[in-house]
Amino acid sequence: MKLIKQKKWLIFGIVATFFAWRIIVVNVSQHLATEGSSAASAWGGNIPEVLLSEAAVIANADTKRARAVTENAVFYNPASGNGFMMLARLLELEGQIALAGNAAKMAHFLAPRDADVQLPLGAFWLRRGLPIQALSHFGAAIESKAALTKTLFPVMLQIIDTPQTRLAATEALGNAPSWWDGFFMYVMKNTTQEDTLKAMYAARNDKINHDQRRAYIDHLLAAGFYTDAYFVWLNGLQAGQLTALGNIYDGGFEQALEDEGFGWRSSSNKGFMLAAEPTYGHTGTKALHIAFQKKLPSSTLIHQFLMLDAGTYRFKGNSRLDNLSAGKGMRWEIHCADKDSRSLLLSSEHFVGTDNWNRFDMEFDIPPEKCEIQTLRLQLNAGNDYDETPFSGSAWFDDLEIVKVD
Amino acid sequence: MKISKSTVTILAMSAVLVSQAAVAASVATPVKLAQVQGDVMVNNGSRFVKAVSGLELKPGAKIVTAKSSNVSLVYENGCVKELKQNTMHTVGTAEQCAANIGKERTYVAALGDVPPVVSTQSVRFDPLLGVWGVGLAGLGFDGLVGSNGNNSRSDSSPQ
Repeated sequence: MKLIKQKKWLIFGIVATFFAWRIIVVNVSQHLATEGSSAASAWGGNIPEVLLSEAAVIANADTKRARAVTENAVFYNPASGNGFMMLARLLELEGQIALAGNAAKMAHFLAPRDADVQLPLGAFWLRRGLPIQALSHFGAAIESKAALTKTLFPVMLQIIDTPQTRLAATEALGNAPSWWDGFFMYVMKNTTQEDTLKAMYAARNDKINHDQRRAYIDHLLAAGFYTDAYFVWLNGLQAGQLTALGNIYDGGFEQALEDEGFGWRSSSNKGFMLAAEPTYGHTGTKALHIAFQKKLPSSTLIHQFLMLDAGTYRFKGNSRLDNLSAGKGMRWEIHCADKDSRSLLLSSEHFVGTDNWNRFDMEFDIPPEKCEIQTLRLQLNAGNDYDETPFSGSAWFDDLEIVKVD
Repeated sequence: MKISKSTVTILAMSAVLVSQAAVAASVATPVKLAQVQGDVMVNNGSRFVKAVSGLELKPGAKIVTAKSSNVSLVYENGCVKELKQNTMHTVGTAEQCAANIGKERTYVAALGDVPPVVSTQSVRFDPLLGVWGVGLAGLGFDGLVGSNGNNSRSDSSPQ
């Protein structure tokens, strides 16, 4: 009985020692293979990772032997995406394109989320002249390793910047996950072709985020594509927001101040607070409220882009002032906002002091040329630098409108 | 040859009347909206309101069609102006419609309007240009061995 027990322990000891030895061998050889050390094969001659490392070293010098070693690696680990990817590359070098393609498909099947496989897969299909397929692999690589964006975004930009592949490429990326936002911003900064951005934006369609839309509209405005900017903004509005469209968008300040496109664009500064909120004596539910907390330099507090045709107009609105002390005060201005012309078209009186709700009304002209787009601004005139009078109090504005004069 | 004062007066009055009639005809003639589809907005002065078929507009009014929206403008002389999606149009006179002139700004979407020249699946890499080789120099054989040296099925499960 005792002898049987001792034998059991002996067998257990031998098996445990064997496994411990294998664990050490496999891990040390894998580590050495990763480091590129030639000692890896001495530790584990039939470990797939070691074999793949060996194949990589001799691939260019002796492709056939490298393929034999790789096939050996695949034999020991038939579930290795890396193994099949290596095989695809070697077969491609040997000119066996169809077999290489099959090996590449197998690699993707085995490792669809492994950046170390997806990245060379993308390069493989790119070499084979299938950029759209390459894009999907690059996308998968970025999904599992975000740091790859630095390497891959420039390559992906070249693919979508190519006119022949642009539409299909942007459509293929249309459903990409969160990294699409970063890629769109990268393209906006680096492409020289507006059509690329346009196609990307259209392919993403309703899934576009607020930040990306705003950046794109600002890009179009800066580039002088005013009509494009207007319709990108218009088509991003919700049904309820369309009711606020006019020569001035939301002149009653009933919508949220979204700081986008042709809506109200507010400046942020700790010296003043700006919001659309309820008060007394106005129409609708809200009015624009600007309250000062400390002295500020002269600046634009809130503005809006306008798309008015040439002609004569009247700018009207209501204002209320609550002990407003802010240098010389605030005034509404309308300027041409074309790249070539920023001429002043209208300047109201300064709003300062205390006053109940009052109607203001003034006429201005839009010239027929170099004034395709305009800005309506609420401008702070801080006055003289030496004036130490603190800024305080607030102003309310409501029912702003611009009416065409027949 | 002498022309009497009364003849000059009659001619002048006729000219004024004729020109006034022409101006009245061109300015006052309303334009009717037809086949309104989607978000079509019209501006008669300061604000945009949703357009409906049959609505009458005067020259100078502004029409905006959003994405997937369109409308037809029917003038009294029979001229029909069709506005496609993403268009900002200022209504002109019937004469301007007939002459196909007017103020219009249109946003042309990239997709659909400009089909690809070549099927994308047949586009091949041009080794002479090397266009797509840039930035991928590091994807040789070294790149094929995983950085963690481990690429088993378990860490690459399909989703």
